[in-house]
Amino acid sequence: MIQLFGQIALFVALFFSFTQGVIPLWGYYKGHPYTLALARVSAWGQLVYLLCAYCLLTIAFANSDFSIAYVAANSHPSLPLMYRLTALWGAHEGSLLLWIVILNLWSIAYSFVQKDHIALTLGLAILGLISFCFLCFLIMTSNPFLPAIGPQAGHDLNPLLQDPGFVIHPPMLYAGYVGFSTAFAITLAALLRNKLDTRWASITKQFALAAWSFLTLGIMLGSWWAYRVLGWGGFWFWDPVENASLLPWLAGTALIHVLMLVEKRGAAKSWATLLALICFALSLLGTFLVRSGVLISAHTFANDPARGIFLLLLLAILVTAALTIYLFRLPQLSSTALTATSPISREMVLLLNSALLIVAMLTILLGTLYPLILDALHLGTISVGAPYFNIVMLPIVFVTMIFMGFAPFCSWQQQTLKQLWRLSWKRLAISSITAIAMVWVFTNQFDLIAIITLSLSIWIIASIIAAWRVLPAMSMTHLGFAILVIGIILSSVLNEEREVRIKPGNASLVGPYQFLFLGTEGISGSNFRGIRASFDVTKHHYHVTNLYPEKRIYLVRDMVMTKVDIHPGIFRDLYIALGEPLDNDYWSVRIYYKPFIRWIWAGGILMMIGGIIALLQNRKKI
Amino acid sequence: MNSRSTRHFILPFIIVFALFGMLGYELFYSKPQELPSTLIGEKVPHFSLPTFTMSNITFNDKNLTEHVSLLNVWASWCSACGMEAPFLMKIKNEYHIPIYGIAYKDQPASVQTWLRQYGNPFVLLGNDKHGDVAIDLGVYGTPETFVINPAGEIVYRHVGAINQQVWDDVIYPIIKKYME
Repeated sequence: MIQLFGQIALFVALFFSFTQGVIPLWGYYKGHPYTLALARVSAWGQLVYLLCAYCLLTIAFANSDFSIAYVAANSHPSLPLMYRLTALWGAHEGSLLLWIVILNLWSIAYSFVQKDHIALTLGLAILGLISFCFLCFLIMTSNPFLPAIGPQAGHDLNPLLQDPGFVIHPPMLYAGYVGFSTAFAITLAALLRNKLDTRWASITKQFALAAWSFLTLGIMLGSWWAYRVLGWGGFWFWDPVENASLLPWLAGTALIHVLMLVEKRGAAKSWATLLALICFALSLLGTFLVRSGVLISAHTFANDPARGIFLLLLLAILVTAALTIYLFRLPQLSSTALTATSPISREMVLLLNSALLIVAMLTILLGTLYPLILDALHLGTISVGAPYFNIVMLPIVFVTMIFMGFAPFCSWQQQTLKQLWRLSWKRLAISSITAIAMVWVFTNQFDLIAIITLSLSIWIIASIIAAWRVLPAMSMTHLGFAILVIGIILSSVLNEEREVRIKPGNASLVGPYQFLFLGTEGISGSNFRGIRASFDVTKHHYHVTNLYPEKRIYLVRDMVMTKVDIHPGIFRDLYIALGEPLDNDYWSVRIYYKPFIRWIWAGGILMMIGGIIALLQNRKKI
Repeated sequence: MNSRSTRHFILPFIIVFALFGMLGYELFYSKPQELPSTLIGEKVPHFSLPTFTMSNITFNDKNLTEHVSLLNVWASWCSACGMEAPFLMKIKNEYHIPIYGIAYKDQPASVQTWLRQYGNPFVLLGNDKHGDVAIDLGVYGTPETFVINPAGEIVYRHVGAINQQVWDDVIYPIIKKYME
């Protein structure tokens, strides 16, 4: 029953996406004003039916209705309710449905913000076309409502996904990813009408900021989840799928900076337009890379060539159409020339910053696609990993951070080098000295990279003190970034880890902490069995905490999972992963002492808060 | 439109289409299953392994010279290897190609049970208890089969179980070249 109604809801949503996308565009060019009214009504119709489909699938998961193949493949009656309600986005079909639902939520949000009737209609029409394409893709190649063949017992949700992080990370990440579609549609609509004014810049910025904030949170949550679940104590692996989420983030950051320039000075319109188009193209490219299986990654769900072809065609059509419109309009874009501005003015810093971010984006894109390029040219099979990315990103990040520090001192238009130097030299000196002192106190040696990174981070923090009142959003995001960088560098420099062979009663010393292995006991959950080890952690004979890492076996999929236990703290995390049982009561255990690792996520959260502050400030302009 | 602006108009499309062409090509033609061994054209690395049957006989890389042969890396705990076994027996009985085996990280008792169950297709079977030889050979997963020419060089590597189709299309034509 659910299966039938779900199918019907999807087809009705497809119909509405057609009337939202195609008919208003046709009417706009043929001059039938009444067809324009259809866009907003259809957008609502589409959202209502998509939400119906979404709720039906969730109900099917909640009731373990295994007559639907997708539910049978990703759920089990013993799965806890929290995961049954969210298992919907545990595999390809459902996450694509979530993608489309979020796209339509953004469309409706757009209809509330945009007051200009024509701009609203055209933007909604473009969003409707995108939704139409993706609904065709969903119905034809990845329908979540297909009936199961024969009676099914349920294959359970992948145990890697059974973590609280799974409940919140995918929707946040998708909200960010898909949010750039609104900036794309608004910009494309403005290009079609050749009306790229300050209002366009403000509205695009509003949606770019909202999408960027969600994406920041999504990436942070993903990183936190990887840290907790994968059991290696790492927070970023330069996995192709992680890179795919970082690419639109970098392009989006550049877009937001350039849009400020458009708003204030009416300059760099063509660059801002291109960035808005690139952001969404990168989101689509990311979707293609993840879903088609051309790149081997921890996140790849299924390799189905039909899905890949469809997504590639979609990407090609959207990018070609956007690029054609852009290039036809390019000669008519009238930007203010920045001839009278000094090379160290705020305009130039904003432009330079966007260029640096795009260079960083292209560097990561190249590293991600390099194995594919080599393979296509028959030059061999390789994989590009963390060493490449760490080496090439370091100089780009350093240069960007120098500019970030100067940003608050740069005024619009006019600025002399002397003024700038007078404002900043003290802070530069203080931050370098503080950094050298900190590195010496923490590590008793002079690690050059650590000193440079730390002094640049402190330099950014010192420079925003002056700007806190005037530019709160910028101060908050830059502060967040500096704290994130401090977290990355200090946690990698001060990190201590030991892989020990240990039996109950023995203790191991990692950092200033002593870990005493008390013993093991059997545990059982609703869909797993396992062993829990208990450790008593002391520091200089004072009790700190007890930690209980687990080894679980998920019965339905017969998969063994390591569940780490972490004692979090502002200045350090204690992290234990239970390894394999060895002979004579011995266990192999990995113990990590990770100072300042929380700062990474704290920085990310601050950046998101900064994005929200910017959003609230920007709202007044619309 | 003059030629300069035409060029500016065309260039972005060329870049974008080159990217899409590459992605499309990868989508259709890339075969993640086909892993060319870095050892192709190289001599089999030196090794010497005890055999399961008689304690005084060892199996080493010298055994793999002077005739074209197959080297099969397998394990009794690997279910795909059990599925492959009847075909290995067919190669032994119908095509008369010598097959050498390496049991990867295995227990002698379970190897004996396996050989009783499926038959013994191997001329010699080495016991790679710790998997060192498999690492030297760059083994990706069991079962994996190498074609070794009379000079003792690896000419082909197949990942996964061999079946009639793979044999007829790929492996047997390679072997035939060396049998003349």
